[in-house]
Formats: sequence, C-alpha cells, structure tokens
Amino acid sequence: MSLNFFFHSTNSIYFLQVSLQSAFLPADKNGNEKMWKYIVKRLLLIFVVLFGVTLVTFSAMHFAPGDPAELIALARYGSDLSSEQIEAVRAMEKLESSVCIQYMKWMDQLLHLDFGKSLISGDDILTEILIRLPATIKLAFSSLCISLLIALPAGILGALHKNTFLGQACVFGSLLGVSIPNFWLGVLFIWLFSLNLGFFPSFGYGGIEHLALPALTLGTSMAAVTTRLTRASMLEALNKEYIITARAKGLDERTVILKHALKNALLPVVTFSGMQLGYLLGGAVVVETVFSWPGIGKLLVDSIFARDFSMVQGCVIFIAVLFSLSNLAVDILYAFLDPRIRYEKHN
Amino acid sequence: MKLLDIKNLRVYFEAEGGIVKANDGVSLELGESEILGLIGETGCGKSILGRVVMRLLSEKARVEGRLLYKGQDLLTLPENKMRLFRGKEIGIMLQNPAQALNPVLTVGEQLAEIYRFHEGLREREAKEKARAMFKRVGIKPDRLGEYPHQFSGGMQQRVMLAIGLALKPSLLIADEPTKGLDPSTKHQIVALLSALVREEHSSLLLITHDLEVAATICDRIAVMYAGEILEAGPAKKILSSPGHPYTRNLLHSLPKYGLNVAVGQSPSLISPPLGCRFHPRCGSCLKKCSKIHPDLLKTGPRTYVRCHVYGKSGKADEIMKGAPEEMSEKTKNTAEVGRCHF
Ligand SMILES: Nc1ncnc2c1ncn2[C@@H]1O[C@H](COP(=O)(O)OP(=O)(O)O)[C@@H](O)[C@H]1O
Ligand SMILES: [Mg+2]
Repeated sequence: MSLNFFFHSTNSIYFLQVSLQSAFLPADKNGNEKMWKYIVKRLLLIFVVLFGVTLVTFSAMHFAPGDPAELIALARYGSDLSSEQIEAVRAMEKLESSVCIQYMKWMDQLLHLDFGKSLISGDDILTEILIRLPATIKLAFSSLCISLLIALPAGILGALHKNTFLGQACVFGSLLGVSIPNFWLGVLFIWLFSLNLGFFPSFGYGGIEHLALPALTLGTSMAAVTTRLTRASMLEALNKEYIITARAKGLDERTVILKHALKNALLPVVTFSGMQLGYLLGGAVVVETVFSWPGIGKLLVDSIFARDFSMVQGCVIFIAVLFSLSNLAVDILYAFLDPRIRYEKHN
Repeated sequence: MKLLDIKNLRVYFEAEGGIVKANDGVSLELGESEILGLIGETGCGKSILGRVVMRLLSEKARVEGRLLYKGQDLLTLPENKMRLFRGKEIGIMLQNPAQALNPVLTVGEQLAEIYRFHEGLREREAKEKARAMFKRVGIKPDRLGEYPHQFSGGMQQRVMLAIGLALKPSLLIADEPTKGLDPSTKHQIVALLSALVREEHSSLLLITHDLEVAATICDRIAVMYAGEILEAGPAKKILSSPGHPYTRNLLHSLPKYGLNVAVGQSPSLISPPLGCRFHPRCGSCLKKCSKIHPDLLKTGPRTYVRCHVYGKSGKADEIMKGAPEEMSEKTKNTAEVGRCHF
C-alpha cells in the first residue's frame, strides 16, 4: 500500500460518483419530494461507493504478496521475529479464518461504526481520526478562504482585461501556480518566511502563526486553478445576451459585471470550491507532511510508514465518506444557487 | 419631425473569411410616434442595425456614418453620456428572450433595478413600479419573484416589453418579438406592443421577418437586403404596390399568395454581388443591374426605392424579350437559377 494507492482510490471514487450522478439527475423540476428522492438516491449510491472502497482496501492488504501475520508482526516487533511471535499475531488478529469471513467480520464492525484498533499502538482508530479532524478542518477552511480571496479578483480582472498586461499577468500567475508542486512551494515558503524573514514558525500546531504557512501554501496553489476557472466562466458570462440587455438598461459597467455576469459566473466556481473543500477535508497529505500539521493526511502518511494497515484502512474509508458527503452537499448547494435546477412547486 | 435619422451607416466586422459588411450604407428615418417595420431575410443585418442605434455592439465592430437621434449624433457621444440614453430615451427588446433575460435573477429584480438605478428609487418603491408595469403588460404581479425559465415564450416576451418600456422611452426597438410564438400568442403580443407604444406616443422600430406582423401595425415599412435598404415608404403603399422586385417577392411568399419563396440563396455579406445586390435572384433585371450599384431613389414623399428597373417596367419587358442573344455561355447557368437576363 502506498501513497499512490491513496490518490488513485479517491480519484476513482470521484469519477464513479460523477458518472453515476449524471445518470441519476432528476429530469423534471417540480416538488420538494423530487429533491428528497434525489438525496436518498445519492445516499444509497454513497453506500455502493463505500462498499467498493472497503473491498479495495481490504484486498490491497490481504492479497498483497507476503503473509499478513508476518507483516503485522514485523511492524509491531521489528525485524528479527520468531515463528511463535508470528503465530501469536495470527491468533490475536484472527487471521486464521478464511478471507471471506474476515471481510464479513470487518464489515460488521464498520457498520457498527467500529473502525477497529491500531495494529501498533492499539488505540481506537476512529478516536484517533477524530482527534486529528479539527486540525484538518482548520487548514481546509483557511486555505479555501485564501484561495478564493486571490482567485476571485484575479479571475475577474483576468477576464475583464484579457488583452492587457494586467490580464496576461493574471493568466501567467495562475499558470505558474498550477505548475509549481505543493511540496516545493511549501519548502520555498519555509525558506522565505520562516528561515529568512522569521515571520512564522516552519512547523507545528497551535495558534494562527502555525496555520499561516501551510494555509498559504495550499491556498495559493488552489487559487491557481480557481483563477483559471473564474476567468473562463466570467468570459463566458460576459459573452451572453443578457449582458447586452443589462447594458441596454443603461446600468453602469460595475453593475453589469459584478451583478449580471458574476452571479452567473460564480455557479461553477462554487461547485468547484466545494469539491476542493471535500478533497481538503480528507487531509492535505503533502502539505500536512511538509509542515508537520497534525491532520488526517499526516496520520495517513505516518500510518503508511509505520505499516499500520488497519489505521490506513480506517483513514481511507473515513476520507471516502467525507468526500462523498461533501460532494452531495455541493450538489444540493448548486441546486439552491441555480434557479433552473432548484426544485420548487409552480404551475 | 424626425426622431431618428440614420445616414449612410456602415457596420463592418473583421471575420476569418474577410470583412463582414453587416450594414453597408444604411439610410433610414423614423418620425415621432411612428411605427416603422424593418423587414428582411435572416442574416441581412437587421439585429445589427437595432443594436448599433444603442451602441451595444462589441468594440470590434467598425462603425461609420451618422446616427442622429433628436438631432444629436449618437456615434460621437462619449460613453458616459450614451449610457443615460439607454433605457431612458431608447429601449430595446432583444431577440430571443430566453437568452436575453438573466437566468439567475428574478424577473422582478431585472425590472426593478431599472427604477432603482435611473430614478434613485428605494427597494419598495421600485418593486411597486415594477408591479404596475407587469400589470400593464399583462403579467400577474405576483410572478415578480419568479425566474425567466418559469415563463413561457410569450410571457418572456412580455417581460422584455416591460423592461423595454420601463422608463417610457421615446423610441422602442423590438427585435423579432414574435419569433417562435404560436399564432394566437403572436397576435396578443403584437396587439399589446402597438397599444402600449401608441399610449406612450413612443416610436417603434419593429424588426421582423414576418410581413404579416409588419402589415398589421406599421405606419411605414423599410425592406433590408444584404446590409442595405432596398425600399422604404408608407406601409400601405409598400404592401399594395411594392416598388422593388424583392419586396414583390416577399409579398408573394405570404401564405395567401401561395408561399412562393424567392429562389436562390441570401448573398454573402463579405463579398456581396456586384451591381444590385439582389440581381442574381431578380426576375426582371436589366443588363446594368449586374454592373452598376443602384442608388436609393426618392420616388415620393418619404418613399425610396433602390432599383434600376423602377418606373421602366414596360421597357424591362422589352429588354427581356430581346435579351437572350446577348447572353454569354458563362452567364446562362446563373441566369437559369436566378431567372436573370443580361
Ligand atoms: N460579431 C460579429 N462578427 C462577425 N459577423 C457578425 C457579427 N455579428 C453579426 N455578424 C454577421 O452579421 C450579419 C447580420 O446579422 P444580424 O443583424 O443578426 O441578422 P438578422 O437580420 O437576422 O438580424 C450576419 O450574417 C452575421 O453573421
Ligand atoms: Mg436578428
């Protein structure tokens, strides 16, 4: 199991959801009942997705080359193992029964919200994850705020002045942001703000000064993509007929842009930001690691290096749940923002 | 008194295949409290003309000529002065209300914002005026909080009308207000439009390709073809004795005359035909029609025709009879398609 696996699993959840989603989007728009039916349908779908996630994580551990009991013993007691130690682990972790039965037992536990215990420390996995959750939430929201504070003005300016130096600078800046990897930007910020200027501590957890650098790193790199999206959807909105109607009313350019165009252009941006937030809530693996930020991403990476398989499984499932739920929340939010999708009674 | 006097207006667009001459020397006048119908095939430049009057075209459009509104040239007006004319002096109903209304704002807000912006009214008063305006155009005022997609095509058109007339402008431009409507809705909209415009003593520039609609309410009619005006005059005269073969063609295409649609395709606006732009499709064209571009001739009070054949129809027949031997091999084919004799 590796970092790669983690990324692939969350990505495929996303794509699976998107494709299922489009198949199930309600065609007609009347009645709150429809909305509820839709939400229930989506929740059922999330169960299907999560079932897939458990299958994959479970198989990854049990069908990986090597004896799972030996791997666990290795993680727990170090490299020189006696066969008694291995057998003791096998008995303790109930690894002698068939794979099917093990899986069913594990699923039974999960359905009772029992994520099991850490293989190394023996701590309750769900408790461990929930302890890390506040740090991840703090980082997620503050970096989203930073990202939007940069991306919205830059995207709008980029669209309005697309042929001038200013507009080109916005495009270039966001291109640069997209191409710079997170870990490199993080290290650069540490070097600049922490080592050279001494503004912020380079790692740790506590007050706002600790939050500054990781949030700035994540926020700026997220802003790059959001800027491009804002600019593109703003350009699209500005080309629409209703903009001409707005101008024909004699409204000033500020109202035309900030009210008539922006309100339309923001729809995809809101959806995208919501998705980004869902992704961040699952823990920003790289940035949390670079800044030793004690969130879920850091927990996941630490567990991977410690070969704490049950903790890794627990994290992946928890992340999948968060991601699915936040995607659902984004869809519902979108339905409320866009009157054309909003489900209200009318005749 | 002339409210709007357009003189030799040109609107050119830079496009991939060359310069699109969307309006190429348009001259047109519109009196006070007058309804002028602008008719012509799709793509001949009607919407462009409607928009350029309010200076709503993109900066890429090259505009030349004179656009006199109440004696003042709108084309030389600075943008901040021009903005005061929009909505207040000139209102417009754009083509396709489904796209011309903002999908994420309520129709009430799209109307009320006009009153807040131009008259400095507060939220409540603006809403009150919007309700009154909705009543006038025949929409229940309790639909103020609804969104454009909840309205039918005819109702959206009424919203557009409410927006266009919100500030009682002296000139309303209505771009294809009956397009895509069923016959009974169409008649309602046309009746409402003319009633409200007459009530306000406003002028109306009615852009349409529907001759019947133009015939019902227009005082005057102008016929546009390939970016220029071919004929303009009192509606009765144009409809009873059209001066231009193209107008005759349009009349014959009406259902009651048996839907005789004009042969041939609308010409390209990048490289329009030499001479008279209509000559390749004309049933009665002369030799010089393919060579010399006819001027817009004054043929009566406020009546104009752009045609070499006008007033010599007898002669035209003679020429047509005697013409075949003059035809070259090359022009024979085009002649068949266009029923044209050189
Ligand atoms: N921005 C533009 N760039 C290039 N060509 C344009 C542009 N806008 C309109 N045109 C061309 O101008 C012509 C006239 O368009 P329009 O006025 O909309 O016709 P209609 O008479 O159907 O209203 C069309 O052939 C169209 O292709
Ligand atoms: Mg048009």
